Parts: sequence; structure tokens; C-alpha cells
Amino acid sequence: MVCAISAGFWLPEPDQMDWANQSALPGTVGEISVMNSEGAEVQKPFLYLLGTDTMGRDIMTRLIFGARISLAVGLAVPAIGLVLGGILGMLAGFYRGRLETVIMAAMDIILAFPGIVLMLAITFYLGPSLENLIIALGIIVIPAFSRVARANTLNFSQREFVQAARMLGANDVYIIFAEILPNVIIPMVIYALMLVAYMIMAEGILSFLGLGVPPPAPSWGGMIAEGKEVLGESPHVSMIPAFVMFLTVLSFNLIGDSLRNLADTKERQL
Amino acid sequence: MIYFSKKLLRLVFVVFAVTALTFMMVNLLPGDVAYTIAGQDSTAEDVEAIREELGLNRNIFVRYAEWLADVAHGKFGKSLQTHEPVLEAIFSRAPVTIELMILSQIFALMLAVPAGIISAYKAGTSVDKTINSAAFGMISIPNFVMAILLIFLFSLRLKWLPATGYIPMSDGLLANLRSFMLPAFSIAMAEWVSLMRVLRSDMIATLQEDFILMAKSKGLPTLHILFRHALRPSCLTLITIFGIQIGHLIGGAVIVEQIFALPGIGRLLIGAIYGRDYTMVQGCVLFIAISYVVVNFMVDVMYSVLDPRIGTEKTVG
Amino acid sequence: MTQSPPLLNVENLRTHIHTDRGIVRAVDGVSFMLCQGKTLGIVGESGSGKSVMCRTILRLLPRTAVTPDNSHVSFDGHNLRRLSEKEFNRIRGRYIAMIFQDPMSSLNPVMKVGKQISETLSHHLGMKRKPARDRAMELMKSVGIPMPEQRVNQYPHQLSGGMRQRVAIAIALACNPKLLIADEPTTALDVTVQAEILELLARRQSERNMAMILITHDLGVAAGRTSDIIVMYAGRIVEQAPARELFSNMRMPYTRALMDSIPRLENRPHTTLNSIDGQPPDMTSPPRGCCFAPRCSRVRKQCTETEPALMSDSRKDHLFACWYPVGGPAS
Repeated sequence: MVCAISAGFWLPEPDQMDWANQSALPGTVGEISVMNSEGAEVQKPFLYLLGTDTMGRDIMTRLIFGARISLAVGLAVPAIGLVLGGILGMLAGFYRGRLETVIMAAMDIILAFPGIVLMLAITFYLGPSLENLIIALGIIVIPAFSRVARANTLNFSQREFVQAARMLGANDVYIIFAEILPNVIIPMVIYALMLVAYMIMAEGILSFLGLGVPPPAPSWGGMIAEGKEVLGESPHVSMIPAFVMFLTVLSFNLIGDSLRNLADTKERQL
Repeated sequence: MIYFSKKLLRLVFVVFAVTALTFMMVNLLPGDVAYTIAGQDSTAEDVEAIREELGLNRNIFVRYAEWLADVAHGKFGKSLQTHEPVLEAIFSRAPVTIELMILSQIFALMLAVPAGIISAYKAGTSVDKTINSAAFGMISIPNFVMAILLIFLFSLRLKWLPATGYIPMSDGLLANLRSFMLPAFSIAMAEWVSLMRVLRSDMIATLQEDFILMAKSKGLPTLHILFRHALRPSCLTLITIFGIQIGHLIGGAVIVEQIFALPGIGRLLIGAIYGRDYTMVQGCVLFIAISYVVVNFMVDVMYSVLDPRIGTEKTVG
Repeated sequence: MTQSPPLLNVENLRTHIHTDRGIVRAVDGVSFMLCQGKTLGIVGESGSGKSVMCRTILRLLPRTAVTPDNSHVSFDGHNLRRLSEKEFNRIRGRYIAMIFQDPMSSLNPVMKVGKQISETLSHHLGMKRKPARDRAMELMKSVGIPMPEQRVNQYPHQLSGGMRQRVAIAIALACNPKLLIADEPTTALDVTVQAEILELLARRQSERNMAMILITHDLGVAAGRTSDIIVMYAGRIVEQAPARELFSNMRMPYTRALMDSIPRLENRPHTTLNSIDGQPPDMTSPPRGCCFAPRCSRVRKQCTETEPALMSDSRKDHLFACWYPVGGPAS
């Protein structure tokens, strides 16, 4: 299972290559052909490894650029969720009382909206851009993280080593960061990894609907959407990005799953 | 009883919060709301007129209160695109979305139940592993990709089912169902996995029970034992998951409706987003959110009725 | 035992269960015969293999259990080991029926008891719903369940332990089986109810001329209700004799120890109960020699070296596996 991770993992290349817009031939889809021109002044022969899309752009390049966006979302959002949700959750679990009720109520309110609807709404009102996308998705994932953090904090703050630290005169901030955090962070990281795959899918959904990063920036969802028009004649325009997205999501799911199994077995030995 | 009223209070609170949030979201818009609505080549008077109409000059709390009163009376405002009342538009679209959600859940069950039973019965064998791998793969496919795959396969290549278009029930039940097949399946393909997993693990536990051995000693055929004896006690967690899945269904419905051009609430919402129809978006979001909260609440109540243990457990956690 | 051909003939039965720790030889070479109308008592501690053996006869074992090819079980002339699963399902429940130890766990908790009875009737005898239901009520009455019209619609948890076992008996007897296997039918019940259930079984048996295998760990239960008795230990038969002969003339020290451990009414109060020291052997690696040797009070050198085969004395129908049996050596 673990070795399946290496398959299908697209790393973003800091590629200086720009794609040429073959608008001279609108609507045609290039097959995996060999000699075709690209570039600013000089016409150089260029191999379209994966063919071109409806506007003649090289799919491979766009995939790689799109990967940057997908991965940015996929990694940044869980990171935000982890940090903010984690802090909120730990505060709630540690201090209990009023603070906890308020925080949890806020979380409940966010959770009251079905995920995708909220996603749509926030990006709609904020306007489409990468930052807004990350913010919107970040907001959506915070409640889940806070729940995990709070549950674990509740669990750990009863234990003796916390009370011991307190007796040694440590103040609250220290306790939270030095004692509780290391224990709470593991389940959160695991959840975060599981979330990466989901975030990539979410970004895909948004860009598919045209509500993600605005064109002409390439994104996997957007590429799939464009390919939908010519699905009958040239399925590869949609299928290739779809397949890449699938592999990436699958890989992350596998990573998350294996890690979860590792963590589970550790717990059982406890 | 205490549990119930606590939940009810929470429900009311959340509903209020939802309305407030939905209302506030309009204010998230960068720049001047009125100006954005009026459009780029409007004059200063147009902008001012809209400002008046929407009451943007007044105190925010007053606006909220008025808006809330309107909403409670069912006046969600008028769509900026079509100028039809928002609530009516929503209601006319609702049946489609509901039908889609019900059908997807049915399909998901149709996939999950046999798969769960088979993989529980053959736990540990290659059949089980195949089913589980397939399941794992399928949740890695987002529903819009699945939709495209299905369209490609069934619509374009095999020409069995329509790719888009909705045929209302009044025009024939079979045709109506046909137009829902691909959309419902797109959603079901991701939903069935969690259902199947849960059923499988419950079934594995049930199959180890003595009464299954007894049934076998009666000479009953295996299929009979699986479906008539083992299935029912294993359903409990399955039913629990049902409620949780409703949220996913709504989300899935939104996307799928768009792809397959089904005139449901989801499509309405997306259309409104494309058209910058702020009133409509607000109305849709509000409607969906409140329905979601209410449905969740009812499902919760139902659980505590079905299983009295839940009430006490929750208050501890 | 010699007049008519035996109904059930078990030869050299072995069952090996594959576990993580190794192969457990749960049944290690058991042979016996049972005729129509007779009752065979199988007595042994937990772990002696008695339950596993009966489940092997009925092929109710998990997939990890394997029975080697040189084991034979024949029932009414049919070779049970050769039948396909489908054919065997026609025998199970219809010609051979089984009652389990704990009726609370062996009855389906979410199915009405009447249905659990009529299920067998519908499946094996092809009865329709209404006649099956009526017959189920008759059966319930015949096993001593009062007010069957009410009870037929109830669930197992609504019945007392004794009544549940009666339901299990009704299920087993529904299709008039030729052989009934009762696996510790009274162990999970109150003492007062135990006698009733055993009486019930005996009555039904004589009515139908049914053969019965009565499995128990309690020699007292077997006394007076069985025609022959097999004593099992560590998967093997260690003593086998007609009941009366066994009780009057025990040869295997293990049997003797079992007998001694039964609490007696005539003992003074607070008499210490005799129990057998030690634990049954680990069946993944059975010890050399006699399996009971580590716990035997009469153990000698030969016992730990060579495994005793079943031998008989003057009476050919009394077999025992011991080098130094009670009552003097075998002649």
C-alpha cells in the first residue's frame, strides 16, 4: 500500500515554459502528433506529450501548472484548518466553560451549512481568486479540526502530567503548547492528510464550475470542464486531467489511510 | 425530555445564526454593493436608486430585522435576473432536487448492500479485497469526474441514456427515471462506499454470532441466512450513516444538476452565481441551509427515539 | 447395538483447526457407532473436543478447520463427507438436528420465535405459511410451552431461559429428525429447569424412536439417560462403554476423577469439592504419551512415554485407554 504513494504524484515544476495559444486553429484538438510549432519568435518543433486541448494548448504543461494550484489548495487549506481549528479546539477543550460553548457554537453554525453550498456562497461573495478560495475552504474545515483538537484536549488535560506541570508552576500558555500540543497534533495531522485529497477534489469542483481560479489560469477542474464540450470526439481532453486528478487524490487517500492504520496499531498496543 | 428541549433551543439558535450569516455575507462583497448590482455603466442616480431600494443607507441591524421579517413572511425578494419571486422559484425547483437525492440514495443502497454482504461473507478473501479496493478507488473520483465518465460511457459511446435534460413525471414515469439515471448514479458512486464499509463491519460481527450457526444447522441455504437472518441486526450503523450523508447529497446534487442540466435548486443557485444575482443566491443559500438544519434536527430526534442510549451518551461527550 | 445396522457410524474422525499459533488437533481420531432409538452420551471437560466433533459431523465448522481424508462419517447409509454443500443442507435440520448450549445466543434476537420454527418447516417440508404456523404452534405445545398462540409472535428476549430452550427443541424436532445432537442443552439453565428439559428430550426421543447424542461435561446429567457413554479428553476417546457398565466399573482414572468431582447430596455440608488439578493440554503441541498423564494420580513412567491405545478387558464393549487402569490392568 505504501509503495503506491510514489505512483501518480505530480510535483509542480518551477517551469518557465509558457504555453502558446494556438488560436489560429480554434476548436481543433491536436492528437499526439509530433511536429508542431510553439514559442514567441522562433518556431521550434515541440512534442505534445499528451495532446492539446480545445484551444491547442499543450495539456501536459497545463496539467503541471494546474497541479500547482491544486496542490496549493490541497496543502494550504488543511494547514490553515489545522492551525486555526487546532488552536480553537485546544482552547475550548482546555478552558471549558463559556469559552468552550461560544467556540463550539460558532463551529456548529459553520457546520450548519452543507459543505459545498457554503463553499459556493463564500467564493461567490468574496470573488474568485486563489486566496479567496483558500480562505473559503479554510473556513469550512476549521470546525472539523477544532472538534478533533477539542476531543483530544479533553482527553489529555485530565491526565497527570498536566497537573504535574501545573504544580511545577507552569502557566497556561506553556501547558497548552508544550504538554498538550504534542499529543493533540498527531491525530490532527492524520486528519489533515486525509483532508488533502478532499481539498484537491473540492478545488476541482469549483474550477470545474468556473468558480475557482479565473481563466486563463489552468486548473484541473477547468480543463475537465473545457473537455466536456468535445467529449464525443476527443475524450482525452477531459479524460487525461481527470485521470491525473484521480491518481493524485488516490495517492493522498492512500497516504492518509496508511498513516491512519499505523496510528491505529500504535494505539492498540497502548 | 431535557435532551429534546436542549436540542430544540440549539436548533432555533442555529437557525437565527444562519440567517444572520447569510445576510451578512452580502456585505462581504468587495466594493460598493449597490454599485456592483447596478453595473458598470450606470449613473450615480441609478446607484443611488438601488441603494434606496435595498435600504443600504440605513442601520445594519434595522436592515437585518426588516429582512428577517420579510423572510419569515416568505418574501425572499425578487431575482435580479428574472424578476420572479425568489421563493417561488425555489419551490418550483425543489421537487427535482428532492427526487434526485432520493434516487441517489436508493442507488447507493442498491450498490452498498449486496457489496457489503458479499464482502462480509467472504471477508479476507480476494473477493473482499477486490470490492474494498474498488470502493477505495471510487471515493477518489470526485462526482463531477464520475459524471463525465458516465456520460462518456453510457451516453456517447453506448447511447443508452440521455446526457442532459429533464423530463418531468407528467410526461411519463419511465422517461422521467431515465433522465435521472446518470445523475443519480454519479452521486451514488461515491456515497455507497461509506455505507458498504459500515455494513460490512457490522455484518462480520453478526456472522460470528451463535444464531447464525444455528440457522446453518437448520439446513437453511446460505443466501437465505445472509439476507433474512444476518442483515437485519447489522443495519443499525447503516441507518445512522444515512442521516450524515444528507449533507453530501445536497452538495453532490448541486454539481450534478449543473452538469446534467436538471432544473433543480442546485442549478438555480449556480445560475444565480453566474449571473451575479445576489438576491437569488442569498435566497437559495438561506433556504438550503435552513432545510439542512431542520432535517438534521429531525434525524437526530429520530435517532434518540430509536435508540434511547444516544441521549445519555451525548451529554457526556 | 448389534441388532440393526447403526444409524451413525463415525470412523477415525479428526479435525484440525489452523490458527495463528499452529494447528490445533481438536478432534484426534474418534470412532463410534450409534443405533436408532439409542442415546449416546459424550462426556468431557471444556476443550475436550466434544462440541467440535459434533459440529464436524454436521459440517458446521469455520473455514480454518480441516478434516483429513481418512475420516469417515456415514449416516443412514450416506457418506456424509462426500456430499455437496447443497445436498448436505437437505440433511441438516431435517434428518439430523442440533440443539445448542445457550438458547439466548442461538436464537435470532430480531426474529419472532414462531417464525424461527416455521422457517424449517417451510424450507424442508415445503409447507405454506398458514399450515407451517399452525404446526409451529402444535410443536410449541408439545414441548411444553403454555399459550403458544401468544408466544408464537414473541421474541426470544421475552421468554425465560427454559422456554427458549424449549423453542430450540421445537425447532430441532420440527421435521422429525432421525438423529438429534444436543450440545450441553441444560448447562445454561437453572437446575430446576434442567431436569424438565432432559425429561422432555427423553420423552420425545422414545416417541419417535430417535437417536440422540447428548453432550455434557456433567456425568450426573448422563447418568440414567444414556444407553452408551463416551468419555473424551484432549480430542480423543479415553473410555467408552454402555452406561451401566461405565458407572459400575470405571477403568480410566480420568473418568473416576470426573465421577468424584460431582457434588453429592449425602456429603456433609461444607465438604470440599474434589476437582481435578491442572489444565487440559495445549492442543497445538500435545504431550508425549498419555494426554492425561500430567494430571493423573496414578501416573507411572510408561504413561509419559507411550500413548495408550484403546484396549478392552473381558467385556468387549468396554474400551479404555490407560496403562494402569482403575481396578487392575487389562487382561
